Amino acid sequence: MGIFDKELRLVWASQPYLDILCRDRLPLERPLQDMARREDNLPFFGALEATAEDGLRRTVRNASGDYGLTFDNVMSRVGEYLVVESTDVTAKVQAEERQNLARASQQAVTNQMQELVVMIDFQLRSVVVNEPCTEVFGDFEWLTRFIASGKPFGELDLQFPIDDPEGKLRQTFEIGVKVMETGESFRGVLELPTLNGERIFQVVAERWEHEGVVRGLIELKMDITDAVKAHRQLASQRQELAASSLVKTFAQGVAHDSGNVAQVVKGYAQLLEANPVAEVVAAAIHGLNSAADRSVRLAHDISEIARIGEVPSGPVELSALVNSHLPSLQRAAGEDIHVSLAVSGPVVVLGNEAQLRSILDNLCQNSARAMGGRGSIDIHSADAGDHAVLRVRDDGPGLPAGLQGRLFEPFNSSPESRAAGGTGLGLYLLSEHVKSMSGTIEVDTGTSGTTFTVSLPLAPGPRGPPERAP
Amino acid sequence: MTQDPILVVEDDDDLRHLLRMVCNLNGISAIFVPDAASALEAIAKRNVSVILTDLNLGGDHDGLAVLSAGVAGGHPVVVMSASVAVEDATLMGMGATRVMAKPFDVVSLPAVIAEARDA
Repeated sequence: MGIFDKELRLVWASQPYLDILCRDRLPLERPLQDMARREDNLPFFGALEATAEDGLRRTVRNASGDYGLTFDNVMSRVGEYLVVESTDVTAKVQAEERQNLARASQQAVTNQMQELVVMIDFQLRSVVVNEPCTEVFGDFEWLTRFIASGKPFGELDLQFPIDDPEGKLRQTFEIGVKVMETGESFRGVLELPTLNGERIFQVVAERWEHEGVVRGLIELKMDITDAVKAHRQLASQRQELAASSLVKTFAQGVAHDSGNVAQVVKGYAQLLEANPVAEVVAAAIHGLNSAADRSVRLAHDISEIARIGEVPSGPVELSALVNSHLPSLQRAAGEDIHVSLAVSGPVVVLGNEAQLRSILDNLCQNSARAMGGRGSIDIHSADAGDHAVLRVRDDGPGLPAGLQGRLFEPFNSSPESRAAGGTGLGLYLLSEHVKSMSGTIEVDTGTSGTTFTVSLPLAPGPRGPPERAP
Repeated sequence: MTQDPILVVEDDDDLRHLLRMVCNLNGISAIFVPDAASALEAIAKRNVSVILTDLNLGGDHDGLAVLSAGVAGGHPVVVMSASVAVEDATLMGMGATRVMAKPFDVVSLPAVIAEARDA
Protein backbone atom coordinates (compact mmCIF):
# COMPACT_ATOMS: atom_id res chain seq x y z
CA MET A 1 0.00 0.00 0.00
CA GLY A 2 1.15 3.52 -0.76
CA ILE A 3 -0.23 6.85 0.38
CA PHE A 4 0.19 10.06 -1.56
CA ASP A 5 -0.54 13.56 -0.37
CA LYS A 6 -2.56 16.02 -2.32
CA GLU A 7 0.62 17.26 -4.00
CA LEU A 8 0.91 13.76 -5.38
CA ARG A 9 3.96 12.86 -3.48
CA LEU A 10 4.43 9.48 -1.88
CA VAL A 11 4.29 10.11 1.85
CA TRP A 12 3.98 6.57 3.16
CA ALA A 13 4.55 3.08 1.80
CA SER A 14 4.27 -0.35 3.28
CA GLN A 15 7.43 -2.41 3.12
CA PRO A 16 6.19 -4.65 0.27
CA TYR A 17 5.28 -1.53 -1.63
CA LEU A 18 8.74 -0.16 -1.07
CA ASP A 19 10.32 -3.48 -1.92
CA ILE A 20 8.66 -3.52 -5.25
CA LEU A 21 8.17 0.07 -6.33
CA CYS A 22 11.08 1.76 -4.71
CA ARG A 23 13.94 -0.59 -5.34
CA ASP A 24 15.80 2.26 -6.89
CA ARG A 25 15.55 4.01 -3.48
CA LEU A 26 13.61 6.96 -4.72
CA PRO A 27 13.09 9.52 -1.94
CA LEU A 28 9.62 9.10 -0.61
CA GLU A 29 8.68 12.73 -1.21
CA ARG A 30 9.99 12.96 -4.70
CA PRO A 31 7.36 14.45 -6.99
CA LEU A 32 5.38 11.83 -8.86
CA GLN A 33 6.05 13.55 -12.17
CA ASP A 34 9.67 12.40 -11.91
CA MET A 35 8.58 8.82 -11.51
CA ALA A 36 6.05 9.16 -14.29
CA ARG A 37 8.72 9.83 -16.82
CA ARG A 38 8.91 6.14 -17.34
CA GLU A 39 6.37 5.50 -20.01
CA ASP A 40 5.09 2.29 -18.58
CA ASN A 41 3.97 4.10 -15.48
CA LEU A 42 1.90 6.68 -17.33
CA PRO A 43 -1.39 4.85 -16.83
CA PHE A 44 -0.68 4.57 -13.13
CA PHE A 45 0.07 8.25 -12.60
CA GLY A 46 -2.60 9.35 -15.00
CA ALA A 47 -5.19 7.43 -12.96
CA LEU A 48 -3.75 8.77 -9.69
CA GLU A 49 -4.03 12.36 -10.93
CA ALA A 50 -7.57 11.77 -12.07
CA THR A 51 -8.52 10.29 -8.68
CA ALA A 52 -6.95 13.29 -6.89
CA GLU A 53 -9.02 15.62 -9.03
CA ASP A 54 -12.47 14.01 -9.00
CA GLY A 55 -12.23 11.72 -5.94
CA LEU A 56 -13.56 8.69 -7.79
CA ARG A 57 -12.15 5.22 -7.15
CA ARG A 58 -10.09 3.76 -10.00
CA THR A 59 -8.43 0.50 -10.82
CA VAL A 60 -5.53 0.42 -13.23
CA ARG A 61 -3.02 -2.19 -14.27
CA ASN A 62 0.48 -1.06 -14.90
CA ALA A 63 3.62 -2.88 -15.83
CA SER A 64 7.04 -2.00 -14.72
CA GLY A 65 9.35 -2.50 -17.59
CA ASP A 66 12.35 -2.17 -15.32
CA TYR A 67 11.42 -5.02 -13.02
CA GLY A 68 9.29 -7.14 -15.32
CA LEU A 69 6.40 -6.88 -12.92
CA THR A 70 2.76 -6.03 -13.38
CA PHE A 71 0.40 -4.60 -10.78
CA ASP A 72 -3.27 -4.08 -10.36
CA ASN A 73 -3.64 -0.77 -8.50
CA VAL A 74 -6.82 0.28 -6.74
CA MET A 75 -6.79 4.04 -6.14
CA SER A 76 -9.11 5.91 -3.81
CA ARG A 77 -9.16 9.33 -2.09
CA VAL A 78 -9.36 9.50 1.67
CA GLY A 79 -9.55 13.17 2.81
CA GLU A 80 -6.43 14.94 1.61
CA TYR A 81 -4.67 11.69 0.76
CA LEU A 82 -4.73 9.23 -2.07
CA VAL A 83 -4.51 5.58 -1.10
CA VAL A 84 -3.10 3.11 -3.60
CA GLU A 85 -3.42 -0.62 -3.00
CA SER A 86 -1.21 -2.48 -5.44
CA THR A 87 -1.34 -6.21 -6.06
CA ASP A 88 1.42 -8.03 -7.87
CA VAL A 89 -0.34 -9.82 -10.75
CA THR A 90 2.81 -10.62 -12.69
CA ALA A 91 2.37 -14.41 -12.49
CA LYS A 92 -1.28 -14.19 -13.51
CA VAL A 93 -0.52 -11.90 -16.44
CA GLN A 94 2.32 -14.10 -17.59
CA ALA A 95 0.02 -17.15 -17.44
CA GLU A 96 -2.59 -15.28 -19.48
CA GLU A 97 0.03 -14.29 -22.00
CA ARG A 98 1.16 -17.87 -22.31
CA GLN A 99 -2.43 -18.96 -22.79
CA ASN A 100 -3.02 -16.27 -25.37
CA LEU A 101 0.09 -17.38 -27.16
CA ALA A 102 -1.06 -20.99 -27.03
CA ARG A 103 -4.50 -20.04 -28.32
CA ALA A 104 -2.96 -17.96 -31.08
CA SER A 105 -0.72 -20.89 -32.02
CA GLN A 106 -3.68 -23.29 -32.04
CA GLN A 107 -5.64 -20.83 -34.13
CA ALA A 108 -2.78 -20.28 -36.57
CA VAL A 109 -2.18 -24.01 -37.00
CA THR A 110 -5.83 -24.97 -37.32
CA ASN A 111 -6.48 -22.20 -39.83
CA GLN A 112 -4.06 -23.99 -42.14
CA MET A 113 -6.11 -27.19 -41.96
CA GLN A 114 -8.60 -28.27 -44.58
CA GLU A 115 -10.74 -29.95 -41.94
CA LEU A 116 -13.16 -27.90 -39.90
CA VAL A 117 -11.63 -27.85 -36.44
CA VAL A 118 -13.14 -27.27 -33.02
CA MET A 119 -10.80 -27.56 -30.04
CA ILE A 120 -12.30 -27.27 -26.59
CA ASP A 121 -9.50 -26.66 -24.14
CA PHE A 122 -10.52 -26.92 -20.49
CA GLN A 123 -7.01 -26.01 -19.36
CA LEU A 124 -7.16 -22.66 -21.14
CA ARG A 125 -10.94 -22.53 -20.80
CA SER A 126 -11.08 -21.71 -24.45
CA VAL A 127 -12.61 -22.86 -27.69
CA VAL A 128 -10.54 -22.65 -30.83
CA VAL A 129 -12.53 -22.79 -34.02
CA ASN A 130 -10.60 -22.48 -37.25
CA GLU A 131 -11.62 -20.15 -40.05
CA PRO A 132 -12.99 -22.83 -42.39
CA CYS A 133 -15.21 -24.03 -39.55
CA THR A 134 -16.41 -20.52 -38.72
CA GLU A 135 -17.27 -19.97 -42.37
CA VAL A 136 -19.47 -23.06 -42.33
CA PHE A 137 -20.93 -23.09 -38.82
CA GLY A 138 -20.66 -19.43 -37.75
CA ASP A 139 -18.83 -18.26 -34.64
CA PHE A 140 -18.80 -20.32 -31.47
CA GLU A 141 -19.09 -17.33 -29.17
CA TRP A 142 -21.87 -19.05 -27.20
CA LEU A 143 -19.68 -22.05 -26.53
CA THR A 144 -16.59 -19.97 -25.83
CA ARG A 145 -18.44 -18.00 -23.17
CA PHE A 146 -19.79 -21.18 -21.65
CA ILE A 147 -16.42 -22.96 -21.52
CA ALA A 148 -14.86 -19.84 -20.00
CA SER A 149 -17.50 -19.92 -17.27
CA GLY A 150 -16.38 -23.39 -16.15
CA LYS A 151 -19.93 -24.61 -15.68
CA PRO A 152 -20.78 -28.28 -16.25
CA PHE A 153 -22.09 -29.20 -19.73
CA GLY A 154 -25.48 -30.06 -18.28
CA GLU A 155 -26.12 -26.35 -17.79
CA LEU A 156 -25.26 -25.42 -21.35
CA ASP A 157 -27.98 -23.79 -23.36
CA LEU A 158 -27.18 -24.70 -26.97
CA GLN A 159 -27.52 -21.63 -29.16
CA PHE A 160 -26.43 -22.64 -32.63
CA PRO A 161 -26.38 -19.78 -35.12
CA ILE A 162 -27.97 -22.16 -37.65
CA ASP A 163 -31.52 -23.53 -37.70
CA ASP A 164 -31.39 -27.06 -36.40
CA PRO A 165 -34.97 -28.30 -36.80
CA GLU A 166 -33.99 -31.98 -36.75
CA GLY A 167 -31.60 -31.56 -33.84
CA LYS A 168 -28.62 -32.79 -35.88
CA LEU A 169 -26.22 -30.16 -34.52
CA ARG A 170 -27.43 -30.94 -31.01
CA GLN A 171 -26.75 -34.64 -31.61
CA THR A 172 -23.26 -33.84 -32.89
CA PHE A 173 -22.59 -31.77 -29.80
CA GLU A 174 -23.85 -34.61 -27.60
CA ILE A 175 -21.50 -36.97 -29.41
CA GLY A 176 -18.63 -34.65 -28.51
CA VAL A 177 -19.68 -34.52 -24.86
CA LYS A 178 -19.89 -38.33 -24.80
CA VAL A 179 -16.41 -38.60 -26.30
CA MET A 180 -15.08 -36.33 -23.54
CA GLU A 181 -16.90 -38.27 -20.85
CA THR A 182 -16.06 -41.78 -21.99
CA GLY A 183 -12.81 -41.31 -23.89
CA GLU A 184 -14.23 -43.40 -26.73
CA SER A 185 -13.40 -41.64 -29.97
CA PHE A 186 -16.05 -41.14 -32.62
CA ARG A 187 -15.69 -41.66 -36.33
CA GLY A 188 -18.69 -41.37 -38.58
CA VAL A 189 -20.46 -39.61 -41.38
CA LEU A 190 -23.00 -36.96 -40.38
CA GLU A 191 -25.30 -34.86 -42.51
CA LEU A 192 -25.51 -31.45 -40.84
CA PRO A 193 -27.15 -28.11 -41.48
CA THR A 194 -24.63 -25.33 -42.18
CA LEU A 195 -24.71 -21.69 -43.22
CA ASN A 196 -24.42 -23.08 -46.78
CA GLY A 197 -27.26 -25.56 -46.44
CA GLU A 198 -27.13 -29.26 -45.65
CA ARG A 199 -23.64 -30.77 -46.02
CA ILE A 200 -22.15 -34.18 -45.39
CA PHE A 201 -19.13 -34.52 -43.11
CA GLN A 202 -16.73 -37.21 -42.15
CA VAL A 203 -16.43 -36.49 -38.44
CA VAL A 204 -13.62 -37.50 -36.10
CA ALA A 205 -13.90 -36.59 -32.42
CA GLU A 206 -11.16 -37.47 -29.94
CA ARG A 207 -10.81 -36.78 -26.26
CA TRP A 208 -7.81 -34.50 -25.75
CA GLU A 209 -5.66 -35.77 -22.92
CA HIS A 210 -2.38 -34.47 -21.64
CA GLU A 211 -0.29 -36.45 -19.19
CA GLY A 212 -3.32 -38.49 -18.17
CA VAL A 213 -5.50 -35.45 -17.57
CA VAL A 214 -8.49 -34.66 -19.78
CA ARG A 215 -7.69 -31.40 -21.45
CA GLY A 216 -10.72 -31.23 -23.70
CA LEU A 217 -11.96 -32.29 -27.10
CA ILE A 218 -10.60 -32.10 -30.60
CA GLU A 219 -13.19 -32.48 -33.32
CA LEU A 220 -12.44 -32.46 -37.03
CA LYS A 221 -15.01 -32.42 -39.77
CA MET A 222 -14.11 -33.03 -43.41
CA ASP A 223 -16.72 -31.85 -45.86
CA ILE A 224 -17.25 -34.85 -48.14
CA THR A 225 -20.50 -33.66 -49.68
CA ASP A 226 -19.13 -33.39 -53.21
CA ALA A 227 -17.37 -36.74 -52.99
CA VAL A 228 -20.49 -38.40 -51.66
CA LYS A 229 -22.60 -36.81 -54.38
CA ALA A 230 -20.14 -37.97 -57.03
CA HIS A 231 -20.19 -41.44 -55.51
CA ARG A 232 -23.97 -41.45 -55.42
CA GLN A 233 -24.06 -40.30 -59.02
CA LEU A 234 -21.64 -43.08 -59.91
CA ALA A 235 -23.74 -45.59 -57.97
CA SER A 236 -26.81 -44.31 -59.77
CA GLN A 237 -25.01 -44.66 -63.09
CA ARG A 238 -24.02 -48.18 -62.07
CA GLN A 239 -27.66 -48.91 -61.31
CA GLU A 240 -28.57 -47.55 -64.72
CA LEU A 241 -25.88 -49.75 -66.20
CA ALA A 242 -27.23 -52.73 -64.28
CA ALA A 243 -30.74 -51.82 -65.39
CA SER A 244 -29.59 -51.44 -68.97
CA SER A 245 -27.79 -54.79 -68.74
CA LEU A 246 -31.01 -56.32 -67.39
CA VAL A 247 -33.01 -54.78 -70.22
CA LYS A 248 -30.47 -56.25 -72.67
CA THR A 249 -30.71 -59.68 -71.06
CA PHE A 250 -34.48 -59.42 -71.19
CA ALA A 251 -34.52 -58.32 -74.79
CA GLN A 252 -32.22 -61.18 -75.76
CA GLY A 253 -34.23 -63.68 -73.72
CA VAL A 254 -37.54 -62.59 -75.14
CA ALA A 255 -36.07 -62.43 -78.65
CA HIS A 256 -34.70 -65.96 -78.29
CA ASP A 257 -37.93 -67.35 -76.91
CA SER A 258 -40.08 -65.58 -79.47
CA GLY A 259 -37.72 -66.75 -82.20
CA ASN A 260 -38.13 -70.33 -81.05
CA VAL A 261 -41.93 -70.05 -80.89
CA ALA A 262 -41.97 -68.46 -84.34
CA GLN A 263 -39.72 -71.25 -85.61
CA VAL A 264 -42.13 -73.90 -84.31
CA VAL A 265 -45.19 -72.19 -85.82
CA LYS A 266 -43.56 -71.43 -89.15
CA GLY A 267 -41.83 -74.81 -89.28
CA TYR A 268 -45.02 -76.83 -88.82
CA ALA A 269 -46.88 -74.60 -91.27
CA GLN A 270 -44.18 -75.29 -93.88
CA LEU A 271 -44.15 -79.01 -93.10
CA LEU A 272 -47.96 -79.23 -93.35
CA GLU A 273 -47.84 -77.49 -96.71
CA ALA A 274 -45.12 -79.77 -98.05
CA ASN A 275 -46.29 -83.01 -96.38
CA PRO A 276 -50.00 -82.94 -95.55
CA VAL A 277 -49.91 -86.42 -94.00
CA ALA A 278 -51.52 -87.63 -90.79
CA GLU A 279 -48.19 -88.01 -89.00
CA VAL A 280 -47.25 -84.38 -89.67
CA VAL A 281 -50.75 -83.12 -88.83
CA ALA A 282 -50.67 -84.84 -85.43
CA ALA A 283 -47.17 -83.52 -84.67
CA ALA A 284 -48.14 -80.04 -85.83
CA ILE A 285 -51.25 -79.91 -83.64
CA HIS A 286 -49.17 -80.91 -80.61
CA GLY A 287 -46.28 -78.60 -81.47
CA LEU A 288 -48.45 -75.59 -82.24
CA ASN A 289 -50.50 -76.02 -79.04
CA SER A 290 -47.33 -76.31 -77.02
CA ALA A 291 -45.81 -73.22 -78.66
CA ALA A 292 -49.01 -71.27 -78.06
CA ASP A 293 -49.02 -72.28 -74.37
CA ARG A 294 -45.41 -71.18 -74.01
CA SER A 295 -46.18 -67.91 -75.66
CA VAL A 296 -49.07 -67.33 -73.25
CA ARG A 297 -46.91 -68.22 -70.23
CA LEU A 298 -44.13 -65.91 -71.40
CA ALA A 299 -46.57 -63.04 -71.97
CA HIS A 300 -48.11 -63.71 -68.56
CA ASP A 301 -44.75 -63.65 -66.79
CA ILE A 302 -43.62 -60.51 -68.61
CA SER A 303 -46.84 -58.68 -67.80
CA GLU A 304 -46.53 -59.79 -64.18
CA ILE A 305 -42.98 -58.42 -64.07
CA ALA A 306 -44.25 -55.15 -65.50
CA ARG A 307 -46.85 -54.89 -62.73
CA ILE A 308 -44.40 -55.45 -59.86
CA GLY A 309 -44.32 -52.38 -57.67
CA GLU A 310 -47.68 -51.16 -58.95
CA VAL A 311 -49.81 -53.47 -56.85
CA PRO A 312 -51.10 -52.04 -53.56
CA SER A 313 -49.78 -53.67 -50.41
CA GLY A 314 -51.40 -54.17 -47.05
CA PRO A 315 -51.45 -56.63 -44.16
CA VAL A 316 -51.85 -60.21 -45.35
CA GLU A 317 -52.13 -63.22 -43.07
CA LEU A 318 -49.58 -65.51 -44.68
CA SER A 319 -50.50 -68.82 -43.07
CA ALA A 320 -54.18 -68.50 -44.01
CA LEU A 321 -53.25 -67.50 -47.54
CA VAL A 322 -50.91 -70.49 -47.98
CA ASN A 323 -53.60 -72.77 -46.56
CA SER A 324 -56.28 -71.49 -48.92
CA HIS A 325 -53.90 -71.71 -51.90
CA LEU A 326 -52.78 -75.26 -51.11
CA PRO A 327 -55.34 -77.08 -53.32
CA SER A 328 -54.31 -74.94 -56.29
CA LEU A 329 -50.63 -75.68 -55.63
CA GLN A 330 -51.37 -79.38 -55.37
CA ARG A 331 -53.29 -79.35 -58.69
CA ALA A 332 -50.46 -77.51 -60.46
CA ALA A 333 -47.83 -79.87 -59.04
CA GLY A 334 -49.63 -82.96 -60.35
CA GLU A 335 -50.78 -86.16 -58.69
CA ASP A 336 -47.29 -87.63 -58.35
CA ILE A 337 -46.17 -84.81 -56.09
CA HIS A 338 -47.41 -84.51 -52.53
CA VAL A 339 -47.64 -80.92 -51.30
CA SER A 340 -47.83 -80.55 -47.52
CA LEU A 341 -48.16 -77.49 -45.33
CA ALA A 342 -47.00 -76.75 -41.78
CA VAL A 343 -47.92 -73.43 -40.20
CA SER A 344 -46.96 -72.26 -36.75
CA GLY A 345 -49.68 -69.74 -36.06
CA PRO A 346 -50.80 -66.59 -37.85
CA VAL A 347 -48.12 -64.41 -39.51
CA VAL A 348 -49.11 -61.02 -40.84
CA VAL A 349 -46.84 -59.64 -43.53
CA LEU A 350 -47.04 -56.42 -45.50
CA GLY A 351 -47.71 -57.37 -49.09
CA ASN A 352 -50.24 -58.28 -51.69
CA GLU A 353 -52.18 -61.52 -51.88
CA ALA A 354 -51.63 -61.93 -55.64
CA GLN A 355 -47.89 -61.41 -55.20
CA LEU A 356 -47.71 -63.92 -52.37
CA ARG A 357 -49.67 -66.47 -54.42
CA SER A 358 -47.27 -65.87 -57.33
CA ILE A 359 -44.30 -66.43 -54.98
CA LEU A 360 -45.85 -69.72 -53.85
CA ASP A 361 -46.71 -70.75 -57.41
CA ASN A 362 -43.20 -70.10 -58.63
CA LEU A 363 -41.53 -71.85 -55.70
CA CYS A 364 -43.73 -74.93 -56.05
CA GLN A 365 -43.51 -75.06 -59.85
CA ASN A 366 -39.75 -74.75 -59.63
CA SER A 367 -39.63 -77.60 -57.12
CA ALA A 368 -41.98 -79.75 -59.19
CA ARG A 369 -39.83 -79.29 -62.31
CA ALA A 370 -36.63 -79.92 -60.34
CA MET A 371 -38.07 -83.24 -59.12
CA GLY A 372 -39.14 -84.34 -62.57
CA GLY A 373 -42.80 -84.32 -61.53
CA ARG A 374 -42.44 -86.87 -58.74
CA GLY A 375 -41.69 -86.34 -55.02
CA SER A 376 -42.84 -84.18 -52.16
CA ILE A 377 -42.92 -80.46 -51.44
CA ASP A 378 -43.11 -79.20 -47.87
CA ILE A 379 -44.29 -75.65 -47.25
CA HIS A 380 -43.75 -73.99 -43.90
CA SER A 381 -44.75 -70.53 -42.77
CA ALA A 382 -43.73 -69.06 -39.44
CA ASP A 383 -43.18 -65.91 -37.44
CA ALA A 384 -39.42 -65.71 -36.85
CA GLY A 385 -39.65 -62.88 -34.35
CA ASP A 386 -38.68 -59.85 -36.39
CA HIS A 387 -39.72 -61.24 -39.78
CA ALA A 388 -41.93 -63.83 -41.41
CA VAL A 389 -40.52 -66.96 -43.00
CA LEU A 390 -41.96 -68.87 -45.93
CA ARG A 391 -40.00 -72.05 -46.60
CA VAL A 392 -40.51 -74.40 -49.54
CA ARG A 393 -38.52 -77.62 -49.53
CA ASP A 394 -38.41 -80.36 -52.15
CA ASP A 395 -36.73 -83.75 -52.11
CA GLY A 396 -35.38 -83.43 -55.64
CA PRO A 397 -31.78 -83.94 -56.81
CA GLY A 398 -30.69 -80.38 -55.95
CA LEU A 399 -29.88 -77.49 -58.27
CA PRO A 400 -27.29 -77.89 -61.02
CA ALA A 401 -23.98 -76.35 -59.90
CA GLY A 402 -23.87 -74.17 -63.01
CA LEU A 403 -27.12 -72.47 -62.09
CA GLN A 404 -26.30 -71.67 -58.49
CA GLY A 405 -25.39 -68.02 -58.04
CA ARG A 406 -27.26 -67.05 -61.22
CA LEU A 407 -30.48 -68.64 -60.15
CA PHE A 408 -32.53 -65.45 -60.16
CA GLU A 409 -31.28 -64.08 -63.45
CA PRO A 410 -33.92 -63.94 -66.18
CA PHE A 411 -33.88 -66.64 -68.88
CA ASN A 412 -31.31 -68.65 -67.03
CA SER A 413 -33.20 -71.82 -66.18
CA SER A 414 -32.02 -75.39 -66.60
CA PRO A 415 -32.90 -77.31 -69.79
CA GLU A 416 -35.01 -79.63 -67.59
CA SER A 417 -36.99 -76.71 -66.27
CA ARG A 418 -37.53 -75.28 -69.72
CA ALA A 419 -38.47 -78.72 -71.02
CA ALA A 420 -41.05 -78.90 -68.24
CA GLY A 421 -42.65 -75.67 -69.41
CA GLY A 422 -40.62 -73.06 -67.53
CA THR A 423 -40.35 -69.69 -69.21
CA GLY A 424 -37.00 -68.96 -67.61
CA LEU A 425 -38.64 -66.09 -65.74
CA GLY A 426 -40.20 -67.87 -62.75
CA LEU A 427 -37.37 -67.47 -60.25
CA TYR A 428 -36.57 -64.00 -61.55
CA LEU A 429 -40.21 -63.06 -61.05
CA LEU A 430 -40.11 -64.62 -57.60
CA SER A 431 -37.03 -62.62 -56.59
CA GLU A 432 -38.52 -59.38 -57.95
CA HIS A 433 -41.74 -59.97 -55.99
CA VAL A 434 -39.76 -60.64 -52.82
CA LYS A 435 -37.56 -57.58 -53.40
CA SER A 436 -40.62 -55.39 -53.93
CA MET A 437 -41.86 -56.56 -50.53
CA SER A 438 -38.46 -55.71 -48.97
CA GLY A 439 -37.80 -59.38 -48.37
CA THR A 440 -34.90 -61.73 -49.02
CA ILE A 441 -34.48 -65.24 -50.43
CA GLU A 442 -32.00 -67.89 -49.33
CA VAL A 443 -31.39 -71.12 -51.19
CA ASP A 444 -29.97 -74.26 -49.66
CA THR A 445 -29.43 -77.06 -52.13
CA GLY A 446 -27.87 -80.49 -52.02
CA THR A 447 -28.33 -84.01 -53.29
CA SER A 448 -31.24 -84.57 -50.91
CA GLY A 449 -33.25 -81.58 -52.10
CA THR A 450 -33.52 -77.83 -52.29
CA THR A 451 -34.96 -75.39 -49.77
CA PHE A 452 -35.99 -71.86 -50.68
CA THR A 453 -36.44 -69.65 -47.62
CA VAL A 454 -38.24 -66.37 -48.22
CA SER A 455 -38.02 -63.83 -45.38
CA LEU A 456 -40.58 -61.04 -45.40
CA PRO A 457 -41.03 -58.05 -43.10
CA LEU A 458 -43.91 -58.33 -40.67
CA ALA A 459 -46.71 -55.83 -41.02
CA PRO A 460 -46.39 -53.01 -38.48
CA GLY A 461 -48.71 -53.08 -35.49
CA PRO A 462 -49.71 -55.74 -33.00
CA ARG A 463 -48.87 -59.33 -33.86
CA GLY A 464 -51.48 -61.65 -35.21
CA PRO A 465 -54.01 -61.54 -38.00
CA PRO A 466 -55.67 -58.25 -38.95
CA GLU A 467 -58.95 -57.64 -37.25
CA ARG A 468 -61.91 -58.85 -39.21
CA ALA A 469 -64.96 -56.72 -39.60
CA PRO A 470 -67.85 -58.08 -37.51
CA MET B 1 -22.59 -96.27 -97.93
CA THR B 2 -24.42 -95.30 -94.77
CA GLN B 3 -23.75 -91.74 -93.81
CA ASP B 4 -22.90 -90.77 -90.26
CA PRO B 5 -25.85 -89.22 -88.45
CA ILE B 6 -26.11 -85.52 -87.97
CA LEU B 7 -26.05 -84.14 -84.40
CA VAL B 8 -28.90 -81.78 -83.52
CA VAL B 9 -28.39 -79.69 -80.38
CA GLU B 10 -31.57 -77.87 -79.34
CA ASP B 11 -32.81 -77.18 -75.82
CA ASP B 12 -36.32 -76.22 -76.90
CA ASP B 13 -38.52 -79.32 -76.72
CA ASP B 14 -41.01 -78.17 -79.35
CA LEU B 15 -38.25 -77.26 -81.78
CA ARG B 16 -36.47 -80.54 -81.19
CA HIS B 17 -39.68 -82.38 -82.03
CA LEU B 18 -40.10 -80.28 -85.18
CA LEU B 19 -36.53 -80.96 -86.31
CA ARG B 20 -36.96 -84.67 -85.57
CA MET B 21 -40.06 -84.63 -87.78
CA VAL B 22 -38.12 -82.85 -90.57
CA CYS B 23 -35.32 -85.43 -90.35
CA ASN B 24 -37.76 -88.37 -90.28
CA LEU B 25 -39.67 -87.08 -93.32
CA ASN B 26 -36.42 -86.63 -95.26
CA GLY B 27 -34.68 -89.83 -94.19
CA ILE B 28 -31.92 -88.00 -92.35
CA SER B 29 -30.35 -90.01 -89.58
CA ALA B 30 -29.92 -87.77 -86.55
CA ILE B 31 -28.95 -87.75 -82.88
CA PHE B 32 -30.85 -85.22 -80.78
CA VAL B 33 -29.45 -83.75 -77.55
CA PRO B 34 -30.89 -80.92 -75.40
CA ASP B 35 -27.74 -79.32 -74.00
CA ALA B 36 -24.10 -78.48 -74.65
CA ALA B 37 -22.68 -81.08 -72.26
CA SER B 38 -24.48 -83.92 -74.03
CA ALA B 39 -23.41 -82.47 -77.37
CA LEU B 40 -19.73 -82.33 -76.37
CA GLU B 41 -19.98 -85.92 -75.19
CA ALA B 42 -21.59 -86.98 -78.48
CA ILE B 43 -18.92 -85.16 -80.51
CA ALA B 44 -16.20 -86.89 -78.50
CA LYS B 45 -17.69 -90.39 -78.64
CA ARG B 46 -19.60 -90.71 -81.90
CA ASN B 47 -19.05 -90.11 -85.54
CA VAL B 48 -21.30 -87.34 -86.75
CA SER B 49 -21.42 -85.88 -90.24
CA VAL B 50 -22.89 -82.44 -89.53
CA ILE B 51 -23.65 -80.57 -86.34
CA LEU B 52 -26.82 -78.47 -86.26
CA THR B 53 -26.77 -76.47 -83.06
CA ASP B 54 -28.79 -73.81 -81.33
CA LEU B 55 -26.67 -70.98 -79.99
CA ASN B 56 -28.52 -70.20 -76.80
CA LEU B 57 -28.76 -73.38 -74.81
CA GLY B 58 -30.54 -72.79 -71.49
CA GLY B 59 -29.71 -69.15 -71.12
CA ASP B 60 -26.03 -69.50 -72.01
CA HIS B 61 -24.24 -69.16 -75.28
CA ASP B 62 -23.09 -72.74 -74.81
CA GLY B 63 -23.72 -73.23 -78.50
CA LEU B 64 -20.36 -71.49 -78.92
CA ALA B 65 -18.69 -74.36 -77.06
CA VAL B 66 -20.46 -76.82 -79.34
CA LEU B 67 -19.36 -74.80 -82.37
CA SER B 68 -15.75 -74.72 -81.17
CA ALA B 69 -15.67 -78.44 -80.37
CA GLY B 70 -17.34 -79.27 -83.70
CA VAL B 71 -14.92 -77.14 -85.70
CA ALA B 72 -11.98 -78.56 -83.74
CA GLY B 73 -13.23 -82.06 -84.58
CA GLY B 74 -13.37 -81.18 -88.28
CA HIS B 75 -17.17 -81.25 -88.46
CA PRO B 76 -19.27 -78.84 -90.49
CA VAL B 77 -21.35 -76.85 -88.01
CA VAL B 78 -24.62 -75.12 -88.88
CA VAL B 79 -25.70 -72.66 -86.19
CA MET B 80 -29.40 -71.94 -85.57
CA SER B 81 -29.69 -68.64 -83.81
CA ALA B 82 -32.60 -66.78 -82.33
CA SER B 83 -30.21 -64.57 -80.45
CA VAL B 84 -29.00 -61.13 -81.41
CA ALA B 85 -26.18 -61.33 -78.86
CA VAL B 86 -23.60 -62.84 -81.19
CA GLU B 87 -23.00 -61.52 -84.69
CA ASP B 88 -23.17 -63.92 -87.63
CA ALA B 89 -19.72 -62.73 -88.68
CA THR B 90 -18.34 -63.81 -85.29
CA LEU B 91 -19.84 -67.26 -85.71
CA MET B 92 -18.51 -67.58 -89.26
CA GLY B 93 -15.16 -66.36 -87.98
CA MET B 94 -15.20 -69.18 -85.45
CA GLY B 95 -15.63 -71.63 -88.28
CA ALA B 96 -19.41 -72.05 -88.63
CA THR B 97 -20.35 -73.42 -92.03
CA ARG B 98 -23.59 -71.54 -92.02
CA VAL B 99 -25.70 -69.41 -89.66
CA MET B 100 -29.49 -69.64 -89.88
CA ALA B 101 -31.58 -67.06 -88.09
CA LYS B 102 -34.77 -68.43 -86.54
CA PRO B 103 -37.35 -68.74 -87.92
CA PHE B 104 -35.74 -70.42 -90.92
CA ASP B 105 -37.33 -72.49 -93.68
CA VAL B 106 -37.49 -76.06 -92.39
CA VAL B 107 -38.38 -77.39 -95.82
CA SER B 108 -34.99 -76.31 -97.11
CA LEU B 109 -33.18 -77.76 -94.11
CA PRO B 110 -32.29 -81.08 -95.82
CA ALA B 111 -30.58 -79.14 -98.60
CA VAL B 112 -28.68 -77.05 -96.06
CA ILE B 113 -27.53 -80.22 -94.29
CA ALA B 114 -26.48 -81.81 -97.58
CA GLU B 115 -24.56 -78.69 -98.55
CA ALA B 116 -22.82 -78.65 -95.19
CA ARG B 117 -21.86 -82.29 -95.53
CA ASP B 118 -20.24 -81.54 -98.85
CA ALA B 119 -18.52 -78.40 -97.63
